[in-house]
Amino acid sequence: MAAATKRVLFVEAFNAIRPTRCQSAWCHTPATIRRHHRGYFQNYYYYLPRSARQGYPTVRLFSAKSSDTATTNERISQIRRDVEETVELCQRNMEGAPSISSVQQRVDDLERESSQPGFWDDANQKRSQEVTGLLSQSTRLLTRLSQWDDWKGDMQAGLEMLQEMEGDNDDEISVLMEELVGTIVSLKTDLDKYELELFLSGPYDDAPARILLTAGAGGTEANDWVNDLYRMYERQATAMGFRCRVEDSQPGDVVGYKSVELLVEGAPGTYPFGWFQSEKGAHRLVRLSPFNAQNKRQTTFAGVDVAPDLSDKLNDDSLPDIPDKDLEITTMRAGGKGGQNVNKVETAVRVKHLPSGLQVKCAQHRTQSQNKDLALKRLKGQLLAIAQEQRVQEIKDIRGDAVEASWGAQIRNYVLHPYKMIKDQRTGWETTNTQGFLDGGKLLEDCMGAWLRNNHAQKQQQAEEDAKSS
Amino acid sequence: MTFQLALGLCLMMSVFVATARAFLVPPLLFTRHSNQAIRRVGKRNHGQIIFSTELPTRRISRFCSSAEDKTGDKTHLRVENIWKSSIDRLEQQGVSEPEWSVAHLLASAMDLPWANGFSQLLTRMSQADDTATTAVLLTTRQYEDFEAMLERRLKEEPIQYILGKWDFLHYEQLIVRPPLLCPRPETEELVELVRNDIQKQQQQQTLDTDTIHILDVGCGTGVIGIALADAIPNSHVHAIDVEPMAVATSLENARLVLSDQAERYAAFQSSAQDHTTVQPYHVIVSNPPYIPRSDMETLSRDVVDYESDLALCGGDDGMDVIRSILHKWVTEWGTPNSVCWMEVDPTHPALLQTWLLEQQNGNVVVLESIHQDLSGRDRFVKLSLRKDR
Repeated sequence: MAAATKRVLFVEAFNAIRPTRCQSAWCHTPATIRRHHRGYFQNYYYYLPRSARQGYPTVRLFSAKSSDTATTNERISQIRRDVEETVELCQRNMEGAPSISSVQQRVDDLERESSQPGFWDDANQKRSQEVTGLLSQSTRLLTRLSQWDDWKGDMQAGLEMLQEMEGDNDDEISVLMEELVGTIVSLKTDLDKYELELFLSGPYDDAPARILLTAGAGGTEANDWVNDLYRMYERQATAMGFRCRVEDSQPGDVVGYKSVELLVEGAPGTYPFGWFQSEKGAHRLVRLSPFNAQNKRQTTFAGVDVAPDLSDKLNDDSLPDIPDKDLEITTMRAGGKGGQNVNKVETAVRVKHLPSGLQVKCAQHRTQSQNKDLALKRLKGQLLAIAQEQRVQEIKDIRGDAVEASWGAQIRNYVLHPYKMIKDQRTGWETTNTQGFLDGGKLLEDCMGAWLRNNHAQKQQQAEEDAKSS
Repeated sequence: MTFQLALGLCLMMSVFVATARAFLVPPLLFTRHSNQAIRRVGKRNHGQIIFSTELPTRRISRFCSSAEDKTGDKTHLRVENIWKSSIDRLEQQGVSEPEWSVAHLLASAMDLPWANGFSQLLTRMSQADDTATTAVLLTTRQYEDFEAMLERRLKEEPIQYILGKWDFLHYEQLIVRPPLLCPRPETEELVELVRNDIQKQQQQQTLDTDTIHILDVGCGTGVIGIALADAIPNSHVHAIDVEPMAVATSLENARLVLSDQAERYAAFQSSAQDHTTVQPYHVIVSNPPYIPRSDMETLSRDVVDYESDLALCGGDDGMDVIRSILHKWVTEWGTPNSVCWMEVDPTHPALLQTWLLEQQNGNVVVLESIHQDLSGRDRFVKLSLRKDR
């Protein structure tokens, strides 16, 4: 057989096994994840060069604005302004933060304590855990501060070199400039992050976050939306250095999930709940539904409830007492005779707080008593957090309706058709890079940061008003 | 002659088989896999179709090899496949709690952490895309262990017996052996009630002795007495059971939980009638056999076929052992201010009340309180001796 005939035969064979619905000549995505590639390839973002796709700039720099048209001298003066601004910001932050020497002192003290004999004994367990947490926190702060110092020195040295090199080879200058801009971006990003973390001073901000995603009305489309959000938050948590695990999930009838419960945990001194609290509310999606027979545009909602997980954090003393009459405890042994008559291993316990309607189910232990204790603890933790949010003194003042409708109005719109736009209703933060946002990472972190700033400003305003009125 | 014929036949057969192999099998394999090869190559090179007759060897070797060779100890059985097929088998047999059974047995076979291994399996298995868990391959040993345990579960043996250990309250991995009663959740509630009651009395100083003597009647695996001995530091617990296995197991469990305090716990083989004591007890606690004989037929197989009748059936009305415990408590065992706690059938509190009124001319015993379990049934009774006797 001639080579040409062979080739034709193989092309035909290849066309036969290719997914039929995909019209693109260079696409070989299997049918199962076609939905994914639709979003990915249709997005303009994909056609950007790879370098532009990766580090999507979030820090706005003078020097990044008009890099193509500006002359070298103009760029140098832009960079100088950036450096000056960043150094000022850095100094302001470093004044607010404890000094390097004092942090070093603290680290040394803690290390000395942890190296003492008897520190790891069981009797000392509580203290040793505390010290380990403090130690990792202080060490992180120390590395961060010294990193700032290094970056600041690098920047200033680089700027001096640039000024000396004026008139030299343009290539060398541009290499140096690029390096310098890279340092400015890293320092500014880290400073921004530090500033945001200063806002995270709520009592539960460093607790793990329990995220409950629930599909709104809309059947399969809504279940798929929950799946997309689940993927987004999972990737987001990983990108921010948190651990994310699925605690409970209820698969949808066709695809996706009816509900997913995620637990986002971080190392001591990080703020999982602080960051993710901004996500609480209804998320609205508008797109051409792949599950609609006519592929029509459809609007769906998913509810996101975020609560701090306080089960490990709180000891029994700090938990509120709830009168027994307010609690309804049900077990898996409710039907039938119970007692010696039945030998079942499932000992799940559901505890419901009657006034608020809040309920917690626990099945992860073998014994009923442990499940009951854990469920009660979690319930109390959630009630405490809600009480704090509603600014009421006692658990009994919690308004039941507020818990029920906790994800009332939409907080964010995700419009994928007819135009692409994700807009946060509370802060006005928006982006057209929808796929980048749904992939988790920088953009979502930016959006969360905007909410934190907004929230902080609102709180300050309120405090000022309170001060005025009193 | 016959020998030659046979030899000839043999030769012919082998030649035939060889030709069949050469002519039939390779083309089959070829057509089956060549598509795959093209698709893979095509995908990797982004659409540039490369002419290739190379067979993807990895796939063939997977097809041809048996379960164990080439990959060492691993079988080709994924956790998710085992999970689904085992649950189906249990469901077909009508065994109760198929998913939970598989979770516990699989976690044990795979040596997952005792505390949360099974619950991790349960949650992860419901997520199809969690391949880190679902796609794990079992080793031969794990698979054999699991299969042996599943066979036992298919015969409705209690999971506690198959694993040989179970939890009670917050005590982990206590030994459970046939024919002893597997500890039930209600019994945990009994222990919590008794513990709280004793601690309250100690605070109010109504139970003001150096050592509190406790008797556990019908100890079984020993969990009630051991948990009380652990919760109340100045207690001294005696446990009795008619079953020799119960005595041995209770003592082993006591060593596990109490370790260096184990001398505060002692177990004897004795029935309630025969047990005598020098030191009277402040607290009698018991989870006696209390199921009425008429109810024994309604029990499921995992209970009635495996757990001892002696630990379950309490005579016609279920009160035989309860009555003899009360009799011995009043006449021999108790101190004047002693109390008796028992787990009973929901029909018993009423029966007990009438029986007490009929029996005792002097009204010696008072049914002090009736407590409900978490499911709302009258499950626990507290009796005390009348002070003005």
